[in-house]
Amino acid sequence: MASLFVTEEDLRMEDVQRVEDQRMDEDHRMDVEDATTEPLEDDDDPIVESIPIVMSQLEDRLRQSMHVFQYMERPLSRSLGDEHVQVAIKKESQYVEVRIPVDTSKFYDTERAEGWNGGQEGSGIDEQALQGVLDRTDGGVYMGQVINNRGNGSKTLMIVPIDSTVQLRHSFKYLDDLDASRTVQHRGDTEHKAVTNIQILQTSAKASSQAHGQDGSKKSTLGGSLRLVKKLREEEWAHLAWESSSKLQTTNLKQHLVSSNSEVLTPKTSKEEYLSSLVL
Amino acid sequence: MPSKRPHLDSDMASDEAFLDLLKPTYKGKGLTDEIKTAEDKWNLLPAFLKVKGLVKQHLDSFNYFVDVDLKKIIKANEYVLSDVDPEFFLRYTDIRVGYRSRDGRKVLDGSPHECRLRDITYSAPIVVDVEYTRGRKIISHKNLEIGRMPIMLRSNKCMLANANEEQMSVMQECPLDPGGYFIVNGTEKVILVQEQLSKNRIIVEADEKKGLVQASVTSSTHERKSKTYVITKNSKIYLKHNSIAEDIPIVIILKAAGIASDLEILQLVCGNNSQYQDLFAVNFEEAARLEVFTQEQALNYVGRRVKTIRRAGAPKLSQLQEGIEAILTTVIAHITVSDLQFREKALFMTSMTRRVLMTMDNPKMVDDRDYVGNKRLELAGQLMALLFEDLFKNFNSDFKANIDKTLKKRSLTAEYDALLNIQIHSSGLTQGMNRAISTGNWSLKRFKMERAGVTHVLSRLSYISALGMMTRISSQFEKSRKVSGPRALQPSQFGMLCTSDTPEGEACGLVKNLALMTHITTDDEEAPIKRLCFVLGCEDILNIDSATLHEAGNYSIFLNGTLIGTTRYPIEFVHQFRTLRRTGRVSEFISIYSNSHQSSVNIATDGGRICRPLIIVDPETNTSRVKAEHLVKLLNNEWVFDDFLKYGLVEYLDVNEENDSLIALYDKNLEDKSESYTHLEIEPFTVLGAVAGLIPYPHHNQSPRNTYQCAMGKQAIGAIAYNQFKRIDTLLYLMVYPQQPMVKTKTIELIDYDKLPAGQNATVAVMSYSGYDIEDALVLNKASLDRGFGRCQVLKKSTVVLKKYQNHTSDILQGYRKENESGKIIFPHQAIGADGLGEVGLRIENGQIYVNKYVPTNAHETVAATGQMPQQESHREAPSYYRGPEPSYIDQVMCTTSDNDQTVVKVLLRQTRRPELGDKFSSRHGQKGVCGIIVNHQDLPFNDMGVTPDIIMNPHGFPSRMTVGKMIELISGKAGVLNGSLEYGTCFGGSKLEDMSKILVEKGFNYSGKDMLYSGITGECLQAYIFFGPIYYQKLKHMVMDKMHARARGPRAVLTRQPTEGRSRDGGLRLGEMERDCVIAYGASQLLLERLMLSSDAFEVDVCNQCGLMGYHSWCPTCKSSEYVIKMTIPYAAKLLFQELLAMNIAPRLKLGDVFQM
Repeated sequence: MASLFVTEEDLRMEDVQRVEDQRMDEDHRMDVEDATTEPLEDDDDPIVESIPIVMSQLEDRLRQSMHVFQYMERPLSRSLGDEHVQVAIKKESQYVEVRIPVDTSKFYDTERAEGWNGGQEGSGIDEQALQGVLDRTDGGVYMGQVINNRGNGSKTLMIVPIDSTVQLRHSFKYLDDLDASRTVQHRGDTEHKAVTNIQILQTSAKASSQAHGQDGSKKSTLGGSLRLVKKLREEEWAHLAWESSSKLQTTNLKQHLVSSNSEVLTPKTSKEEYLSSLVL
Repeated sequence: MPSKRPHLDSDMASDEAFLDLLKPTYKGKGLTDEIKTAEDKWNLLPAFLKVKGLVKQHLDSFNYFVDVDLKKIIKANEYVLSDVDPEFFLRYTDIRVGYRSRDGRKVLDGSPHECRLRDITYSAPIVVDVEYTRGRKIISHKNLEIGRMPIMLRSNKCMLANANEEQMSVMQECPLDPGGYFIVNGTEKVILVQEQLSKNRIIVEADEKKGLVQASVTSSTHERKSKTYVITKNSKIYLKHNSIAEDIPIVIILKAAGIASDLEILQLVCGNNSQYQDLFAVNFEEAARLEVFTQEQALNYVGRRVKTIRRAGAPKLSQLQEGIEAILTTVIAHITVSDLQFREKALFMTSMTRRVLMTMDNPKMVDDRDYVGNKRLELAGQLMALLFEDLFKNFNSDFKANIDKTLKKRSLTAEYDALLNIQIHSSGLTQGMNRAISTGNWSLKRFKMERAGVTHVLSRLSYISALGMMTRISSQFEKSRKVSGPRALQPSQFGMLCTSDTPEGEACGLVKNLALMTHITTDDEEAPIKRLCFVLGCEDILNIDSATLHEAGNYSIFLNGTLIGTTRYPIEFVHQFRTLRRTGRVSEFISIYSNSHQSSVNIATDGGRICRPLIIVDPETNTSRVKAEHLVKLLNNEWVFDDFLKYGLVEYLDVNEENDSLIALYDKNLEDKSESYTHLEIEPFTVLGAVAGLIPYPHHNQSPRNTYQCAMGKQAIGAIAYNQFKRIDTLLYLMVYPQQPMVKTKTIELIDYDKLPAGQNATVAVMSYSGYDIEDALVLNKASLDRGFGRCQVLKKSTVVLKKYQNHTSDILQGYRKENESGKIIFPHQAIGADGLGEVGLRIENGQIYVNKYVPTNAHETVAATGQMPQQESHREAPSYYRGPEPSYIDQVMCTTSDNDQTVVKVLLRQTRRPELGDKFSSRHGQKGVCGIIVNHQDLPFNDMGVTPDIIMNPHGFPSRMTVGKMIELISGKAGVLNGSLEYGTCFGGSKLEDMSKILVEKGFNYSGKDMLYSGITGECLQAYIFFGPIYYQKLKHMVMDKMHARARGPRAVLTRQPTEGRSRDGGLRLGEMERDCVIAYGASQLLLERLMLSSDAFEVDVCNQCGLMGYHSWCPTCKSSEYVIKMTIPYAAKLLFQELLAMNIAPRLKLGDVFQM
């Protein structure tokens, strides 16, 4: 599943989720190889076909960004339809959450779900939360599609640079909440979850004051990773809109990506320059 | 014979280093001789050694340390901040050793030789550039000296670097000296290469009996070292770490690391393999039983079990935070998590688990700890870096404490210059380095590492012993443990570590030596290689989903043991990577190999791997890429060794990559087209090291004999260095007329043993003579000894320090004193001159003085307090006497001042020794023997040319030792003598026996090397033909004069009144326990009494027969009477025992009976 979104502020939400995960992988592997193997090519690997490469861009690079979402445990056969999907991001921490409705009609234990939800509202769990950290690609990873031109039967490989990739994993917050409420019950109402946060605050404050001890660097990184966790917890979710593949905006965007540019990429660096740029 | 070819050397550069090459023959090869690839690819060897040298690994590693690693350390410990003033900072921006600034001038104290003579440290200043705040300003300061660093000789910071022979001689250095050691307080110290298990790699081991499997990884970072295990227990898998109290079920730790779903865990660990899945399934049950489902639950679970000792003042962390920190920093510490992405760490744990599963499924999938590819060698530079970082941290914390103290006192407005204080601490750095190198104790606080015996004094017994020390590798294994594995010869050692050179006894197989053509890598940057992998089609691990990771045909790519991605085209990937390496785009020392069992491609860039150069074989033509024309270029100095690397003709392979290749030993192997060879050995004799390379025809010897020779070659007396007469060492053995061997090897020429030989070519007759030749004893010819055979000089140094005392008095020297009546110089002063020092050239006998020192009688009180005393009475004699059975000659006297401004007098005493009965000799085949008899020339057998042997060796030495190489050496040597040529006994090559026999026959000798001899006594012809010819003999350092010892009476120990122990203290000869048992068994009671008491510590005591205790003067102090006191003789040790027992409140009472009444 590939997804494409821009932040909420500019209210132009586009989400494409049509190019399946599997396809995706294959595509960008292909173009990475295309770029590299050619100059090194030995003669035992003949060129079967040459496909011109066209690089496409998002319309508004400053405000739009392109990301690949991998939902790893979902088989290819069960791609997402037009479900109501919610997306949220913690921008500072580069953390995304996708909420997908659960099909409660099949293989669904209502009783168990109610138990998990602490019996609140009487309802069960009706959505799955998937979370993941965005990994910046630092360029070099592209999404691509081979497009068959209707008229002459020629092909072009359309590539779009990707800003980051993310692997989504289940978060079972309801279980953790259950645990938390149990602990709270155990301890009475004296302690609250916020207390934890205050403790971390102290940690970082103290750690920084001690950071210049004999092994100051160690202290600061130690505080550093916990600080990241703290920051993540404190940051508010910024909600994004999800556009399924059938929406007009998505189709428009897709169309734009495919047709916005027809300038075929031609290598400008010489083989020698390219090779020496590989290892620096 | 090679055909002649016109030569083209008209306008060759007249660089003097290559003058040798211009000679008609160089290294046994005529300049005009035809160059054939097949036989002359060995020319790469001298080229390799010219670039790399024998001790290149030490130099490389030290250079890397001072040029690269130091800067990294500075970067990691960049800031010094103050607790008191948050505004204050000091930042190190650069560090240099030896150079004050970038003008490139080296700053060193004196030459290395001066340091040796003056007992000072050969070191250079460590200078840093800093930026710091003074008041409100930020000031940058350049070239601040923070200490001194000992400099490795011949490294790029040393004044000997790139010096030619002439410059070396000006500095009184030997041009053949390999360097690679330090001079600390005047002694030459070597940091031995340390062998260790490789870091940050997974090692899987199994105990088949107990059914246990364990994967372990030693994570090593700048900060800490820790070990993480993934183990099986009751066929369930757990993670074990020292700072986690309990073993954590693997599923829980994986959940904690963010892989929350069981499906993903299963996919990452087992892939599609149903056997693995079955084996692993039980672990999910474990986690479910413990009710751990989510990441948070898992983190809490881990957090609850973390053992943390936090420093006082550190905040208490919640369980969850403890858990997060355990995952982030403690477990598998070498993978650092900078953001919230745990995936790399999680994947490392899954790959460990997968390896465990694979081994559970198939026990053959274990790793071999002793496999050389799993070893890393730690060199001087790395050890120095560890030490320096520790000292530098101390330095900074001392400095910070100092700043804090000052800033606390001052008002914040006042300007404070921190640099005023920095130099106070510089002695910590200087002395810390000096102390560690001179004592060999490496103690690192941050790793809690305490290692002793890291450095050794460079053995200068002979040139070869010094060389041998530089190539030595010591293992971290305990010597006492009785395990055979680490000691055994590993097949992977081939070409990397010498197969022969290892000591006998407890360190056997644990101490190894490098082979001739090896290189030890230094660290290379990982990041560009990682980027390159992605460009070459490696899929980033962060983008790969768990389902495809272990799909069939998918190869994981590991960079330095860490999974970075996968590829579906491993062969292509590896091929392209190698192509880039061969074209010089990637460092030649980066290795890449694929492992089909684990479906992985492994890339290594880390330091400490052993590798060696090999010729690349063209895959299409199946021929060596090195052709004759390339070698011509090499010989014409158009090319150097690195050009062969650059043009992709030769490449370095490490042990792991060797497994990916098929290496042909000889050119002739390449003709077999059915095998697709990838590489060709440069020369097979490079499997041996420098020391074993001295042995002629070692491939004809029984292997332990070669090992014995490796030990003995280091004890041979010979020439040490070109500057040997300028040296003043504690003990120096020099051979008077050393000769280069008649039968050489290529190695001998490569390491210049022929220029600094240790031995002589003796004419040997293998026959029985006189009966004084049993048990390998040798018969020596007296005339040969008269002519100088086996003659050596022993030089001993004594140092006298003339101290200066606090009260401004000092030790003084006084000239000789004369007898009052005759005016003759008194006997003890006969060797000294008017200056109170020994006169060079004078003979000095036992009891004579070589430095006539006087010390002040009063060294503590000031002169003013005692009043002005005349100089004469204020000092008393404290001369240094010469002690020795044989007189010596004063060779050199040196006066200098040492570091702390005290005068040092060094006197070198010389003895010339000719061989005597009992002196030890050895040939180069592990055949040692002592001189049994010295026979007059006229009594020795002679051949029809009148030649008598120098040595007669008993033929019984051959059958059991099977040293066929020695016999061939004799024949080759004899042929060489007759032919006027030096012959070669190079391993797996050398002059052929048939050719040698042919020469013998041509010169009218028997082909087998046997001659007809006549008895020197009767003149009759001997009844057998005698094997007769030259063999290179070494004189070993064990000489009778240094060992012979006897005593009738002499000094006794104070405590026990028994004779002292040891030759140096004129000690007695002990009749030990076993000897005592013999005497008892024999019933020789009076002998027993005499040996154990009368000749030892007989003592007369007064025993009171009433109380049983000892008294004195016929008086018992206990009974207050002398009535029952009896005198008797007991050992003093027994009396001592009784008294010691009394002192601990035990009363041993003697009950005496009458001897005559039974």
